[in-house]
Amino acid sequence: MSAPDFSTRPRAPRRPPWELALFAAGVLAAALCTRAIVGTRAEGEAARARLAQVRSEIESGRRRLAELERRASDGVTGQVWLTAEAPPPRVLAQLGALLPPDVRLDSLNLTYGRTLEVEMRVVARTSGAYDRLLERLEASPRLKDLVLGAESRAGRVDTTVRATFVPGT
Amino acid sequence: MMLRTVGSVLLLGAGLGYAAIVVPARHELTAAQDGFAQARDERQRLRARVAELERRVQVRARVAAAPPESGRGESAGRLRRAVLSEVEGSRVSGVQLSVSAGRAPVAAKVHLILEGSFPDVLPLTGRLVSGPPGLVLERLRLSPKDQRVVADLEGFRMEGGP
Repeated sequence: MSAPDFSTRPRAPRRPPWELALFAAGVLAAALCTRAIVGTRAEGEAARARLAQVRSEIESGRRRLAELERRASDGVTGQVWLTAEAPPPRVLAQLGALLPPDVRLDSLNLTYGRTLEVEMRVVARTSGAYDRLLERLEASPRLKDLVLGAESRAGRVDTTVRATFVPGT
Repeated sequence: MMLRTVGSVLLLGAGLGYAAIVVPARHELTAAQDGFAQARDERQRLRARVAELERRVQVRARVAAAPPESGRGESAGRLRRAVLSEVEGSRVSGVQLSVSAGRAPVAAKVHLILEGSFPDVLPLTGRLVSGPPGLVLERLRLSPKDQRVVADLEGFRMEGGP
């Protein structure tokens, strides 16, 4: 007897393509979600660890700062440091470099305390020259907390400028 | 049927997992990153402040490192001689000097008024603080007088100073 020409077994019903696509999409979505969970958690742990490290450094920095502030609060430490870092010739040289050609320094008061307070009596030939002086003073990293005295806008300006001098090169 | 069910469950589970786990975790991550950025800025500010104060304390310690002097009267005398030595070596006039004993940690205090040309007066103020008098400045006033400059200086010498 020879084999029959065609199989008599019932054929498995063919799956529709959208079902396969749905399954594939489900597997892909699950894989991506798992990867996102693992990745985000790892990133979060690393970020929290970095944050904890910086916070711990901040805490130790604060303790160190409190200790240094206690040691520097004897009233003379600031004066000693400022005298060493900003002796009068250096202050004058740095202030002089800021003066425009039409402005001269008439008098100068330096008060050394916790900060170095500078009071300058300046005479500018014109109000424009005084404006240029103020632009330079404001732009200078050596001066902060500028307080400007009264000025007249007619002709020569003769006024006082106060500031805190920040030592540096 | 089975494949369809498994696919649907996986899709649904992935969506729920993303919404319930990934989204909150991302919010936490963003918050941690923001906190890190702020903390880093604060650390930077603290470091700068600590460095500045360390420099102050180091200079103060250096000045006070020398052995103590024998007596306050002697301190004032030494300071007077050191200041006069600098002043007499300069071309200045109208010198008025008063020196008094200080209270710890100040060894002696000085008040000095003099006048001269700007190129003579300014370097002298520098030598008074960096030279043998080793003055720590409290106040310096430079004001014009005719074609000259009047310097009015108050300062002190620390115990253990040079």
